[in-house]
Amino acid sequence: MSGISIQPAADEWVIEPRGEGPAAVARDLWRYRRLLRYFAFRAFQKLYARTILGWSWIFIRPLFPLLVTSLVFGSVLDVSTGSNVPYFLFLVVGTSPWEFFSSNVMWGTRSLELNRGLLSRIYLPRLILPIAMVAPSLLTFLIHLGVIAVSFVYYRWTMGVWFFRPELVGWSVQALLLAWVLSLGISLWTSVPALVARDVRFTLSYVLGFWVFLTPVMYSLSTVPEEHRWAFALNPMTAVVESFKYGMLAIGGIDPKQLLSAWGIALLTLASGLIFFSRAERNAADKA
Amino acid sequence: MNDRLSAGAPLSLHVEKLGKRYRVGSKRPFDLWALKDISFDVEPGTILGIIGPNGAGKTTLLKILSRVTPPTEGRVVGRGRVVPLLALGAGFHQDLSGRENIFLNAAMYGISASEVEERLDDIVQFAGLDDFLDTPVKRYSSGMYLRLAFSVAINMRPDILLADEVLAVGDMEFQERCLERVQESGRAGMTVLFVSHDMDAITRLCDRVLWINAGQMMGIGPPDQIVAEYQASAWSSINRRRQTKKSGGHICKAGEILFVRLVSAKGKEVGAIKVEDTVWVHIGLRTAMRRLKVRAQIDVMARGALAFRSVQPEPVPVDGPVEAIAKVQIPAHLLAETTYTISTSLAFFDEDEQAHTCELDNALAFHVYDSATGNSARGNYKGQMRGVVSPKLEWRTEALQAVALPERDGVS
Repeated sequence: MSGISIQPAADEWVIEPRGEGPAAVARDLWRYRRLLRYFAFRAFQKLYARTILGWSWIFIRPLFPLLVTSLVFGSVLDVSTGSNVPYFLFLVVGTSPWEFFSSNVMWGTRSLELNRGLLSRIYLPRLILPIAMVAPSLLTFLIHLGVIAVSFVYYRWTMGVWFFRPELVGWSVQALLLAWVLSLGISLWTSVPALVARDVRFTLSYVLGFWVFLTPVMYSLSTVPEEHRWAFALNPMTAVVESFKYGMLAIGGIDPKQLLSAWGIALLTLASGLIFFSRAERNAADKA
Repeated sequence: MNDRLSAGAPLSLHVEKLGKRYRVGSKRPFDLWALKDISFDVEPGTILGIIGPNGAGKTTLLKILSRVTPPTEGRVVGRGRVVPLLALGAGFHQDLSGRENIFLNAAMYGISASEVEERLDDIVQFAGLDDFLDTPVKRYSSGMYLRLAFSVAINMRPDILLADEVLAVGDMEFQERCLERVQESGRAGMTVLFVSHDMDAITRLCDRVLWINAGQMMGIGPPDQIVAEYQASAWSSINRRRQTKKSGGHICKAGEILFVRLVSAKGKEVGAIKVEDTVWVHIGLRTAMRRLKVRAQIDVMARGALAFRSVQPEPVPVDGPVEAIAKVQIPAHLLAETTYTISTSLAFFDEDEQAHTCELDNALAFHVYDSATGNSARGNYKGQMRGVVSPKLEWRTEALQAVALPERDGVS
């Protein structure tokens, strides 16, 4: 501390090898908050950069797999939804929170890598990047939501049943929030390592591809044999998908113990991710 | 320095025992100190020049000060808003308009939209881009791009401006206006850290100069004195570098390359030149054997291509061990408006006519700019010039003899 002559002043700053702690990080994040919109916009652009069909890909990419899965599982294999809900509706409702989660994990993981050039040249609170990446995932989710709304109307008309129960929709909002917390937590762990090793991204895409089968997205939890249920209880995404379905279609139910443990896992991932990220990101420029 | 500190004079920047270590190499990693034990103070309103050879740590220092990368040890205490001109236009988005980019760029400096709104007129006026404000910046010429980026930065009223060589490029008139503006802001209390290879600009502009070499602080003081010391020391500083790097392509059995420098017609080392300047490339060499013949060669590269190679027509006899400088002139109106790198190699022929070669890749990098006086190869053409050279060629248009067209009637 010796030899510091600068009189304390409001606009004084210090640069040291160690980070400045969570308060300074939060302050910086707020100061640079307008960049969130910009990086969200950049992520949108990447959705259909260098394509011929342009922005129509925003619709094709989420909708095409839905049609294929619904055809294979719903019509050919005739998977039961465990209720009177038609398979297509069941699938869209299950897919929307899952896709939101998995696409947010993938975009978040790539967030630093996609902005490599900026990182090595300009200072900005890097935490902005994984946070802003929620934009493309949210867009996909909104498209799914549109499909769900249309389906509600369609089945009201053909089956005479109105599936949507507005008084339960709070559970779905809660489920989405849970999915966001968990996916952000994961990408805080993965985004800095992904700067140096593309292996992270490749591995993650396999993990997610496997994970979706362990989550009741394409089938109903009620069709899972009792002896395998414990594996689903450990998976926080089970709580996300189940409570989202409950909020939209009033099928299944809320298992409070499982929901709480899922929130516990998600918050723990986020908190530890924040600590890891704030240490690792300081050297991001040297890795980029 | 400590006297002034204890007197409690207000400082703009206090740098204390700053060090930055990189781990380099993937197979057998080792530590490289890009900066070590850098300590200095800057008073408000000072224009501090930072000089040193390529790879000395100048850019690393500015990157630490702009918080792009953290130091490994030491600390910096500063006061006020820091605006880096490290990578002019790095915070620009090609598809957005000039106006949108002003706001984006300011956001990247952490500056609020309302503050930008207040200064928008100043920014646009200084950049001289009224008519292009709603044009996407990808349609801007490189000059317009630079003007906008500089104008945003300087109008953010930084307390500390970090400029890395950027003021040396761009057209002459705008460059002068930038320097004028920087000096003006300096008088108003803005501190400037100005990195340049252009010793002319350094002595003209700066109040003090910091000289670093191989990450070490060599001196700080009045520009004339430090620049003179720096230029006189080129030989010994190369020796120091050789100690850290025992062997390499630039050393062989018969001799070695000591340095490669770009030198103006006036004999000063320069980092940026105008298209109409004649410059020399100096290759310092040392021979380690007797009765050698030496032939030097340069490869001049730009835009990822080899622009041209120049070879000494005849090997020159040198009776060593001796130090010498091979000089090659690059004439005016040859180089294009871009960034060049020069790789050098020396071929030593011993008495048995056997060749030993040493090479130094990317030994030198420099900018060439066009001050658009109408005297360059582009004349008054405003469009984009392409290619890796831009020679001034003679053009003529001559009237043809009036050719009599064959008469049509009568044929049929």
